[in-house]
Amino acid sequence: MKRAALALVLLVSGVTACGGDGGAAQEKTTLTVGVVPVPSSAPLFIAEKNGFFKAEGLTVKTEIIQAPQAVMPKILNGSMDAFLTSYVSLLAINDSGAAKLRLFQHVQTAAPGIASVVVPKDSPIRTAADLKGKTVGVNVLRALGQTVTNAHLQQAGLKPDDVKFTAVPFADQLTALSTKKIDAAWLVEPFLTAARKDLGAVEVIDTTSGPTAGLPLDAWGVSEEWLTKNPKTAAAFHRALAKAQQIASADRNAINAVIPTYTQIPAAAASAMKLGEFSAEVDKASFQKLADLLHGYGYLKSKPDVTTMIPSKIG
Amino acid sequence: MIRRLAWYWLIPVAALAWEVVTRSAGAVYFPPPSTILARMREMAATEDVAADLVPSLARLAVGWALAAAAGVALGVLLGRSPLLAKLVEPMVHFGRSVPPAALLPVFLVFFKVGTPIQLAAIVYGVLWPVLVNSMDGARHVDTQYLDTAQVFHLPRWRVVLAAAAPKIFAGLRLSVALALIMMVISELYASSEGIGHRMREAEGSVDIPAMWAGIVLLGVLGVVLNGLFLAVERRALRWHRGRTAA
Repeated sequence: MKRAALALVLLVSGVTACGGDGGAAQEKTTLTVGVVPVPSSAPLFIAEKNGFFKAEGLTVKTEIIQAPQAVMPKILNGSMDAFLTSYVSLLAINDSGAAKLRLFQHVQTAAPGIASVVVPKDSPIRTAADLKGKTVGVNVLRALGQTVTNAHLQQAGLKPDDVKFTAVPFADQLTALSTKKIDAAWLVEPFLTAARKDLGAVEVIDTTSGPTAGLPLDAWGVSEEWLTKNPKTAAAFHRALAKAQQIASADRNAINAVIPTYTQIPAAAASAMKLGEFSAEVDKASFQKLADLLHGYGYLKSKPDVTTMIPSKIG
Repeated sequence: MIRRLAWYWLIPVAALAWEVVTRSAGAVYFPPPSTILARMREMAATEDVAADLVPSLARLAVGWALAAAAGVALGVLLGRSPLLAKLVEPMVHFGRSVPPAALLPVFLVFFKVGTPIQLAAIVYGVLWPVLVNSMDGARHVDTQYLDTAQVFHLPRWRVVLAAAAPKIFAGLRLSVALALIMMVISELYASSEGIGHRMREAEGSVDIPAMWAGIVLLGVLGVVLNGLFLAVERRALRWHRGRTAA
């Protein structure tokens, strides 16, 4: 049944691609998109696989990036059209004044159990309060990990200064956990499952629950300038991404199938790992809550109004 | 003195050119030096700069001293013992060819996150140039010196050390710059305080002027450390300079 529906979509998209009247008026038809090798990039590959871009007369080229911060010059000079970004990066870049970025299409909202602070097997640390004076590894300082951990530390009666944070890549944190060279580590999926299953790491805080439940994680972003310059291309690209987002939100298998094609995550791990919610739109209140948390800890200079980062209409 | 200072005219000119070029380019990733300086002043006023500077410099000093002592001792030993050198030298060349930055994830297996891993990285990075230079210096000691020492009943090791000193100091001078490099590289990874840690924080919050503040501070530190080392070297090798100049 699903296959028949897919065939129909492909057929229809083939027809419109031949018609081609949508493509003629577009400002540009070849797009370069920065994708981060994490599950949140999946909708783009779902769109490509199902021919959604072709149907809109678009050719999408992907470039693997680690974060938009690393490719800012490309985004500013227009050689990268869109990119996957965490909401934290989006806020941080806009706050710095380095660029004016806009939320193009929401991807993933956090669900419990996908990002946690864990400790090595047999560690005496059992609760958030036990982390006082300890060192916690995060992938990026003053970003999501530190923010959500802080919120839980405060709930446990600690101050953010009571814990030291250190920047260590996720993969290396697994090493440090296994050799007990780090007190605690903030890990996200699929590293979290690996730490639990392979190393016997114990969860101390589920950082996507309680005071930090339902925070938005990742989205597709563009620069404000790109959006005003390419309204028709933006509309077409958005239609294709939104359609893929819908598939991703309804069919977990569609996500599992593409993850191994652009990440190092093997198929078995891709289907075993926990994922957040792939919803059509971001919850504005949660987005604002994330911004307020970041600002509250001093990671953003000014208190942002997130509605200014969400375009009222694309295209 | 004033005549020497006059030779530094290029520095303000370069700073001015830097200011003009970055201002006209308006590239957010390359702020003009005036912006960087303003951010540095702001950081000095509002943050506890010593909390980062002191651990950085302490690790630099301790790491360099440990590596220098071990490097000179091992180097002289290997330089004076052809048998030992033949045995160990291939491993020395292997060890010094491995970029220490690439070993940071390996150090994480052996050393705790924080000061232990940073010290290990500095010691490993600094050890090799000192060791290789000391080995070279100790190996090629003029036999006349040794014969003279024997005749006058001078301790042999002191003559060897003195004869090898110019080479040893050449290695040490290289190692000072390397120690600074290793200090910051090790702090960019698995540190919870220090200049490199602050730069990673600035990176996380896309605080570009603060990142540059760190870069400028490192440059200044490099110049100061080199100057200090040259002053020490000039004193220690005064006899040698007089001898070679004559």
